[in-house]
Amino acid sequence: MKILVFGMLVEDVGSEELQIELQPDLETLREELMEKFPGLKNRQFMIAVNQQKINGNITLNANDEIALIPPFAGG
Amino acid sequence: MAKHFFIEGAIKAKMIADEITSHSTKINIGAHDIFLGQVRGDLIDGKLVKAIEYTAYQDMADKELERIREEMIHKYKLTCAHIHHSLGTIETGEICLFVLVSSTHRKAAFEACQEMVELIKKDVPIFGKELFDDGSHKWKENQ
Repeated sequence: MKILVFGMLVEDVGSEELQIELQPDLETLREELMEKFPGLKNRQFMIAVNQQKINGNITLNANDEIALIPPFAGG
Repeated sequence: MAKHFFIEGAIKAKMIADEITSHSTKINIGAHDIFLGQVRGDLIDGKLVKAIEYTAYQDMADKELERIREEMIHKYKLTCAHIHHSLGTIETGEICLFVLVSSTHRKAAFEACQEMVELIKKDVPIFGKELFDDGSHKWKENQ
């Protein structure tokens, strides 16, 4: 699955876009990302699915648009 | 279709003037309120911010900005509302956010403008890298 990466998190994962194998749900994806990129453990970030903020856990599909989003700084 | 709220580079005074001028034919408007966000030259750990480099998750940001705009128009019965945010490197002293709200009377314009700016800062995936005069950087976070 494709994962978009933004802001300071690009420095932790080394790229603005990741390809990783399909994860069953959001919690598993978060754990997998922490495992692969330990720098993320010290970061505050949310994962958006199909451009929606997600509270709690949801099932993921291969064609979902996943994005790692750090704190906002607009304005 | 999502409206595009972003412009590359700083927001220039002419753009603000032109936007205001374009409302002169809407004669039901009695009040405009404007917010301008300016890049501040903070001194952080002895280093001076000389610019902020803005990026965004643009597809999601456009949707959030449109949602905020529509919510505020509905809540305050605004005549219209406009939001422009910069992307790219904006130097200290330049304008990076321009919000213009218009209504029949002043109270709605004042309140809507303030709430809209707060929501933009809280809900829109825009990211800012503060660039220091010594070449280093720090990622900005809205409080």
